[in-house]
Amino acid sequence: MEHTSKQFELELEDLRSGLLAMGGLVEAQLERALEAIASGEDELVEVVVREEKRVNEAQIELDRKSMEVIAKRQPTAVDLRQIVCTMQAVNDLERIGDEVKKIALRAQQFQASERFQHLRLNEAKHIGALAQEMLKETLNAFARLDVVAAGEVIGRDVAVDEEFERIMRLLVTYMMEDPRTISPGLDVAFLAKAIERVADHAKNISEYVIHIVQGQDPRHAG
Amino acid sequence: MSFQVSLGDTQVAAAARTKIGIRNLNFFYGSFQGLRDITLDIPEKQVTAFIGPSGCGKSTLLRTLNRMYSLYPGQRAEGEINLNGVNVLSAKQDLNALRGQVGMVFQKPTPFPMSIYDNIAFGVKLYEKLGKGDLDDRVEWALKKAALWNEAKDKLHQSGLSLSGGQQQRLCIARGIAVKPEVLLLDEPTSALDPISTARIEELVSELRSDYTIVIVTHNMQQAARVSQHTAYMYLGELIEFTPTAQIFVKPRDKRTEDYITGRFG
Repeated sequence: MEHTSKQFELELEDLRSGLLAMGGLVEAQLERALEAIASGEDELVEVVVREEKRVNEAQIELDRKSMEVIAKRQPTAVDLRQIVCTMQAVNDLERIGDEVKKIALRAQQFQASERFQHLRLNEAKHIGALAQEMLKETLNAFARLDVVAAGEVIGRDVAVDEEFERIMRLLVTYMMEDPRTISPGLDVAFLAKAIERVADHAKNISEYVIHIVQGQDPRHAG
Repeated sequence: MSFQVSLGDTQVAAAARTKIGIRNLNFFYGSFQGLRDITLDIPEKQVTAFIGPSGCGKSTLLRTLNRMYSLYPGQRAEGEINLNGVNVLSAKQDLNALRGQVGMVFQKPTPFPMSIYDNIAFGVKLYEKLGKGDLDDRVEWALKKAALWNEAKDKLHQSGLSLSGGQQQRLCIARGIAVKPEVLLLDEPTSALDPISTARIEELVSELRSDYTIVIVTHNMQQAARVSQHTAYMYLGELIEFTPTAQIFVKPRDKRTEDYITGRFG
């Protein structure tokens, strides 16, 4: 059922679409950063760094709008949950933006080193694709307030965590065998960690979807 | 009274004695049924709020609690309202005694056209025989309780009508509590007041809670959220939901409550 106040309805819609637009921005950023790992194009990295400012601006703008709606409408129940969870999701998207920037800058750094190129390309590609899929699905779940889709995203985070663990074990093996691989090994570890964090934030956003729809906060439930 | 509320996975148990136990209450304005089968336990020394759209029966319900409706022929209530376990709807109930136990404050301030002092002393004299000194003490006590003493102490013998709207309403609350009732009914007590006076009354309600059982009818949902511990949502004479306030405004149990409090209906 719609609100009696059409204006309130529009304000909530504006927040929803603003969040999804910000999500689209972050998705494009992740795409570029993962591409930069493979191609090492300086230009891509520059775009990521530049566009990250737009992500930050979107955060400020959406937080401002959310506060304005709270002050004006004193939202309750599902509306209150939606607005508060939107602010939280905005925060997660901004953090994804930060992680993506880290990924891009590290990708640029790599180009100097030949070592571990196969690891970078293959492993990062795999875990990167998993995280990318989660980000896409979590935004879809938010757009449709789809609890089932959100549950699936939350479930997928385990696979990313396992993938990260696997990469770490692999790296440790290399680094123990040959201390000269420690420095490039750590680079790959940080890269994988940043990607794993992207997946964590995507999972958080799906948890907000459940909180909005069901009124129960699923965080730390497991 | 003891009830369990599910807040997510945690069970929150709130236990409080029932002050007013309403059982299967039906109310009629002539042939029109204003309340339908209301069953509700109002906990002692807490604030209970009734909310709902105009005409839902929340003021009607409030007015049954001290049988205010008995003033009007053609209005009748069926069922039970047990105050301390005694059914006040019984024909044997002494109405004057009941109104001494259950005080009421209305939407518009209704000071009597007499001095501030007499506004308060008038009711006390109906119920108790007090000497001059004791009566003075009682007036001062009530005005202090109602947070009006500082503003009124130098003009106790001026007309109650000389006060501002917010002060008049606090005078009415002082008058209500001067007879030391057990229950205080507030029918939209701040709807005619400015925000500062409203905040004072709300503050007062929170303070009075330690001594009185308070029932408040309000159109202002944020007010219900601020001052009450339990909220009842009513619609078309029925009780739809009765839930701890902390929960009802975040996650109401009933879809109809949610539609109302979020402004999708009403």
